[in-house]
Amino acid sequence: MKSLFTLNPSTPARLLGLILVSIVLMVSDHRYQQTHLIRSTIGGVLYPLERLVSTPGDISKWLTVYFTTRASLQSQVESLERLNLFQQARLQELAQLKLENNRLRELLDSPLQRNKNSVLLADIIRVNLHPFRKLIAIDRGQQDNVYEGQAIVGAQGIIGQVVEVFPMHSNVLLISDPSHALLAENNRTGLRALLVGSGEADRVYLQNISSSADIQIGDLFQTSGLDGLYPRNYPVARVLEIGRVEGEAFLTVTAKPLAQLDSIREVLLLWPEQRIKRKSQPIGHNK
Amino acid sequence: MSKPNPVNGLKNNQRSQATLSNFLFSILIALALTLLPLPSNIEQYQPEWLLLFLIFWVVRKPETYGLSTVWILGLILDVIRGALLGQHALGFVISCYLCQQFHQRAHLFSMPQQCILIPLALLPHFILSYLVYGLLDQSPSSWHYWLPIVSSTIVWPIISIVLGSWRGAKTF
Repeated sequence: MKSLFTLNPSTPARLLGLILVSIVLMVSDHRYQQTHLIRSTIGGVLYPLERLVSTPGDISKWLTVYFTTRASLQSQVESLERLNLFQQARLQELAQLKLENNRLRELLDSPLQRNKNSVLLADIIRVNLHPFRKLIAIDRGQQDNVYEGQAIVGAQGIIGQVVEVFPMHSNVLLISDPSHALLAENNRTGLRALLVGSGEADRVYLQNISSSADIQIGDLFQTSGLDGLYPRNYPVARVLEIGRVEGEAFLTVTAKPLAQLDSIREVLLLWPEQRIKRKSQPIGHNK
Repeated sequence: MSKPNPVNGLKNNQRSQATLSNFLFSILIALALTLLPLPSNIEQYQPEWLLLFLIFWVVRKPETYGLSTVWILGLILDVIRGALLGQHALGFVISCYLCQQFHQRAHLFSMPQQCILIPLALLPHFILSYLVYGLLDQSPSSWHYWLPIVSSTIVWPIISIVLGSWRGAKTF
């Protein structure tokens, strides 16, 4: 045991050291803000104590609310009711808009509705099967008559195609994969272009568009049905950027896939009967 | 407990453990008192609880609770107050160092004498903190800044007696 009456001999030196450390710390905190880690650590450790100490205050607050006078409650209810009425009125407007939207959709003859009978819902069971390729696995396989090359669509647009079929599940290559390509067409002008994946979920490239072509930002590209893979007239991507380089024969066009490729949960499998039927229709009929 | 030799060591060990738990518990109370949400018009008169508790322990057990302990707890107060890191730590270390120099004579001081010495011990901390605020262009506008020295002096006898009577030990 140490003697009671000896002071630690290093005390003045330690005092000096601690003063220096404090000053260095203050300067670094003020000038460079490099002390976030120390702060967040200490703050995190103290958090339970802080909550504990503030409990009495919270309880008293709760008690005040509990014993609020009738009059103040009544006035509060009145004001809330008024607010509710106002918002109900706005909600009615919304319902009307919804109806109108549905009607317009019917007029447009959305492909998803037209093919209602030939689709099968599939759940995604795994994503990112491969670090560099955009592959997902779905829970439909041979037993559901899934076949290689089958088109997969989401609620907003084309997602990809089946590349591998297993008895109970299958793998799907997304349109954002760099090795994936499909022939798309501009639904405003009919201009055809090769839509190639970029490796990123939120962009694809449109290739082979000549510099003089009529294309604008916001143009919608849909499947052309000419690649023998995808049925016609399904929306794929919207033009995001058009890069014109002087002297180049082709534009570099970037588009954003309509389907949220990195956050899909359910997909639809399409069967080809519809496509064959539609092929026999006269040209220009299915606008 | 049957053999005579280890008993002594065991007792010492137990005692130091008890003191350590006492210390930690008192520091926890000091932090809780500091963190206690108070109406803002009272808050500015709050005693510097943590520093008072530390002064008590540094004088009582200078061989156990040194300046490093004080410095670390000062750093914690910096985080609580959202002050510059090291601001309170610096003042704490200097105030406690002064008190430590007197720890052998502290037993001789009566409570009224202690109450005169405590403000003097606290003063370096408040002056240093004031200077740092001044350097940051945040110098306290009113003289209320110095009032915690008064309130700290008022609560000092309570802290000293309560902590000292813990386990029947004498004050200081």
